Amino acid sequence: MSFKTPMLHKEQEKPSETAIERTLKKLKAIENIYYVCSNLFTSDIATASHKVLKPFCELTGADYGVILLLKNPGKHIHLEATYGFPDGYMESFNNKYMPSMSSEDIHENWPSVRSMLKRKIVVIKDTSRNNIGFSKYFSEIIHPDEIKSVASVPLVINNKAVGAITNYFVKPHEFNEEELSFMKTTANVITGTIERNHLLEAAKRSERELAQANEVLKQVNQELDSFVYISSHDLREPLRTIESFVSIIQDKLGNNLFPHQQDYLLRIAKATQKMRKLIEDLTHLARATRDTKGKENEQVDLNALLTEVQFELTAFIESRKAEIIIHDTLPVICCSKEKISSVFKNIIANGIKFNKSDKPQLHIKLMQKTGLDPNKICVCVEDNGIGIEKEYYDKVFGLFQRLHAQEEYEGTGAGLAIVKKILERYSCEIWLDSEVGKGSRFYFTLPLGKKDA
Amino acid sequence: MLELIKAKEKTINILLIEDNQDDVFLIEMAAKECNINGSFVIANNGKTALVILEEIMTGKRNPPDMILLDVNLPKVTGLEVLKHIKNGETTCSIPIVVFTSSDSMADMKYCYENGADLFIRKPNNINGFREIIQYIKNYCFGNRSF
Repeated sequence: MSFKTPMLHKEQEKPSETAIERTLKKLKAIENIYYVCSNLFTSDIATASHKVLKPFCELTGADYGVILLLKNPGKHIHLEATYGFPDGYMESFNNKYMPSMSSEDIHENWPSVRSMLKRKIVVIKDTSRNNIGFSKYFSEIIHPDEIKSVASVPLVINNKAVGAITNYFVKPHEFNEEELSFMKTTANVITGTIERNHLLEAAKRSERELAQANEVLKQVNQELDSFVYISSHDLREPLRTIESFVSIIQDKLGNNLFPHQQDYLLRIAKATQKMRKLIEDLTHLARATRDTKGKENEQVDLNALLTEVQFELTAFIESRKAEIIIHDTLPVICCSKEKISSVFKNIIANGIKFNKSDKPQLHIKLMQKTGLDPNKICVCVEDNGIGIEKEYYDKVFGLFQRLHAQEEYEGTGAGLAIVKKILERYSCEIWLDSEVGKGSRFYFTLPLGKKDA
Repeated sequence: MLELIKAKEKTINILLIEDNQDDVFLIEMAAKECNINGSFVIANNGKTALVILEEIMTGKRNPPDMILLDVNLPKVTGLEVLKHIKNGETTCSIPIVVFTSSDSMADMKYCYENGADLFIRKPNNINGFREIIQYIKNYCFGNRSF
């Protein structure tokens, strides 16, 4: 039985071919194999084997080639790809023989096995001078006497031999350094590709897992928000009843009650009021992350928004004789008007509230900040209030965090937590610097462009 | 004679669809205080409300002068009940006051769009309840507008 003799095999014998031409050809071959490999998007060495064996054999000028792979467990030897063998031989080989690395008839003299064991290239220039164990498995296709030279390159991944590429030559073959290095390089390209693809697949897998985890987290978060929203609504109901019945007693019996009884009722009324405020703030906080039904991406003119905010705070601003100075013309941004309005309202109201000056002054400026995302703007609200000590810079953004007694400054301490949550929704930040007794500057970024849905 | 008519006028039949017994109590109390001779039919869930509405539609029951409707109801929500009222030939012209503890703008919009005559936040003191009754009184004895 005789099979095709590759063209290159003959060409290599041409005396006219210079060393440079040969080198070029080999480089081209590596490039070709590299190209084949780079288009393999698989960590499956089997798929890779089928694609690379043919170009590999053609370029070494081998007459026959096989790729053997070790399949765990038991290091079962599997014929993965053949070159120069008849069609269907591979299947019959794999069905017929199940050689294992630990089988008795497998010995080091089988070049492929040897290369795998030693994890080194094995070259036999002249089989007649070596006792090689070629015969048994392929003898029905290739007569052992027919083969004069053999080269086997191990495929090594993570320092473990996973298989070998073996070339058989009908004529004695001199393996020079150049050729050996070509074989090694090619094997490295193949295993490198597999390693790379393996990493890529692992990366893709963890990316997928991360996305899944993210999705779950998002869902839990949404559920939590709904929970807060719904429960805050249900909490208000009994509160309303308490308030209503207290109001009846005050209304109908007020004048007939002893002063201490009136005092008790007043305390109940105050406590329920406070609880109502807390629940309302909780609702606002929950709402900060809820969609406002299609009104998330409005074009909002910040100048107009600030006018509206000031209008809403008119009574408070006038009662404190406060002054709000807007230094820059502000841009039109893309956001939920309701939510960003709430951001400004909270910060402005805080600046006036936590202020002992006879004339509270707030300055609103547009900041130029290096390294700022071009899709964001940075706004600064500066006040001449009481200031915040540095150690509390983070604490002020916590939910129901208050730095002062209720009697001193009213409020539940949810304002800045709500602000922060709203801004986070737009991937925006808020921070501050402050000088106790002189005032605070709150800086925050806002989304300029269209927010991705 | 005139007094007789007046006395008759003062009886207002109200269908009160409300699951919170405290609110029922407060409304009835406010009605008494405001000298409304109110006759209340109470449905304490949406399903019962639908049964009563069905009776009205089939002539087994007289239509009320006014419907007071809560939004958060068990079984069938107030919003569904509202739609039902507006879809019935004999019930669609009965004035509806929706009162709820919800401060959802979406609910308010929905109610007005679906034919509610008035949408009120549930009060948290007796005066608020008196005001609601006053609205109803004005509507029924006044110019039939809130």
